[in-house]
Amino acid sequence: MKNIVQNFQEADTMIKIQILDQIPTTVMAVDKELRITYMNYAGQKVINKKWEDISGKKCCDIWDCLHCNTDECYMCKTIKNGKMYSAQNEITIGDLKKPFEYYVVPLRDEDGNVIGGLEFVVDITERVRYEERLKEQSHTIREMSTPTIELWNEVLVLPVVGVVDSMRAQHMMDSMLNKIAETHSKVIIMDIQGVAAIDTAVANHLIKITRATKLMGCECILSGITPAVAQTIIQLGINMDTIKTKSTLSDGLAEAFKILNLEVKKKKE
Amino acid sequence: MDYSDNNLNTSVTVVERCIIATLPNDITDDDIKIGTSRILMIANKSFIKGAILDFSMVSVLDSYTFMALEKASKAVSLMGVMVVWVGLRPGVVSALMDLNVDVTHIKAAMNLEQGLKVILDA
Repeated sequence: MKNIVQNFQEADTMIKIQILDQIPTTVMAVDKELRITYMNYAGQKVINKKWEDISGKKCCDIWDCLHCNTDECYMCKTIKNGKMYSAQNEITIGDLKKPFEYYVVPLRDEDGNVIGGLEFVVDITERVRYEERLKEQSHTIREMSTPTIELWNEVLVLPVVGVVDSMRAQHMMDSMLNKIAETHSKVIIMDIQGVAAIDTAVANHLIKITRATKLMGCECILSGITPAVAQTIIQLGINMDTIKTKSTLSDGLAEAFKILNLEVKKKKE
Repeated sequence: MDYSDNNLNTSVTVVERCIIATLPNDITDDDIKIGTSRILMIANKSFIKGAILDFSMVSVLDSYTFMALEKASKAVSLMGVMVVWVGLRPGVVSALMDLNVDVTHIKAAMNLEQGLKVILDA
């Protein structure tokens, strides 16, 4: 194996170009005026043109990319600065728009002067698709993790399950505030039954949320406080005096009815 | 009764013994200063139960303006007039929380109607 590699290293230019032609992604070389001096088979296949049609033409006339003819063109930058760059871009082929990542390196002569640039293009369509799907899914999960439900007229409930970090707390606050403005609710019950542990950071987030709801003219009740959580809060010395706390959601709802001057009566038989 | 002034960007109206001050979107120091003294003057002259600061037009509120309005509210409270902030938008509230300002002693209501109710029921 080592011998073959060595042989290739010592091989003439034609064999090296043939090796470049075998690479399944686009490789392209341009001179200082951005005229194409080389493009491998994969590149010719992508733009569906033969070498005779490409040879000597400017790369921006052949490719239809977002960076072409702008200050963003990294090929121009690499020829100017002699540095290596990589960037994401989008190419239009017919009606299709394809995202890709390209790496550009300067080509130098024996004296080290820049005589052009070499571009190596990687198709990232799959990666972008996965990224978008991931973004969509995380958005859905975020939405699902903070459902603000209208339990009664003017009463909202926000069940919190799992870990509360600052990003989730921010999202919880935003969704609550918007829902309060939307429904003109007067009471919101935050049920933390599903929160296994509370530390000072989580407690601070909860206190912040209750203050925010108060500014919207909405009373906040914290329900679902388990004995373990109650003990932790006391041991940590967190001041929860400003928040109405209840042990169960039903107690919270009863308190909400009290605030709203509502009464639940058994129907007479 | 309308106490609006040409030099003032804030409208101050008295309804059912409640002062209603509607704040503009771009609150200036002068607005707060003149507005506060106007509210204090009215509260001193006539029998006033409460004052409502209407923020429904306000889309941006910085900590300096917040503190100035807080001081104004405290001054009005000293005259025995209950102050209620109404119509704060979710974005403004969220921003105030990010600024970490103390809002515990502020009375707030969702809208003008509920704000009036809070004062009249007190």
